[in-house]
Amino acid sequence: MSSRLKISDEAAQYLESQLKELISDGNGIYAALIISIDGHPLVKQSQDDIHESKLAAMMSSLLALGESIARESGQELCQYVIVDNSDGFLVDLRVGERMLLTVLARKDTNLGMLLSACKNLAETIIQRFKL
Amino acid sequence: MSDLKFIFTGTPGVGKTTAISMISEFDPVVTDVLTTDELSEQKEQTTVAMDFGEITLEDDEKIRLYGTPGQRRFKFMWEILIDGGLGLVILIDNSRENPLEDLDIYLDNFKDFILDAGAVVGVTRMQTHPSPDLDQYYACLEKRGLDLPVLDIDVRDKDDVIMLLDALMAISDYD
Repeated sequence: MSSRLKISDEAAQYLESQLKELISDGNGIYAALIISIDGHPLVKQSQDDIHESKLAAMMSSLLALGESIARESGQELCQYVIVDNSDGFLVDLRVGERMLLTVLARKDTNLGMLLSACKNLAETIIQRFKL
Repeated sequence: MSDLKFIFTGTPGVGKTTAISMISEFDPVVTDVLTTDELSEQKEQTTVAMDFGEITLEDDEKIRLYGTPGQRRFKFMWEILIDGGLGLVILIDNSRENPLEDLDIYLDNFKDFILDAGAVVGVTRMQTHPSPDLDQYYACLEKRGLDLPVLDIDVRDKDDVIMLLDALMAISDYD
């Protein structure tokens, strides 16, 4: 995956291992991506075929819309958006100023646990890279 | 009373958000985020979902103005935003490497919508980058059998942006 947001090979490996761990935790997550805030895919782990370029752009739009809706409502700093579908969940969560974490999970996932796992991972990444 | 919907599209950094802010009656809805790719050399932020503004005509009719993201990876937003639209403003930055190729991209991607609803082309930064000139733009359109107005504009000038809308209303189905 190519993008101009520079992340070192070491950082990419670290992020990949973190996403792998997230998926293998038995929490119903079957795909996870780190993307740039402006919609470029950076790192992906997935048990299914997903079109990461399109998904990255859409997730970037989604969080930006969340942010502008928050501002319009007199609130600010949209941290995450959950899309609850008939057969699964999507979580779109901010990671520092320049990245997003996108997670795809099965419908039988516990939403609270899912969100908690995503937030914990985001915090780990923020601490690791001092974002 | 009915609402009219016009869509602004065009190259990244051309000034779609600026154009809408110049004429909207309220601070427009913007969805700008930090730029992380090569565009960051040109601007710090870029639109990733849409801009939205509104103006009211003398007869109380409202025009809703939607701006699209410029980059092709956000094509899905282009398709969402043109739904119900009555006309398209294509903004082209004449300081880019090949503005006529840029125009081709938008003419291709909005082909059906342009044929249905009509469009106007606004060329920016012609003062500093006079080539290609307007005749070359018209030639480019003619090759495709299109007869659309092409205007030399500055998106920071409210009158210029209104001129674009006037041109669009003149050729769209709006009476």
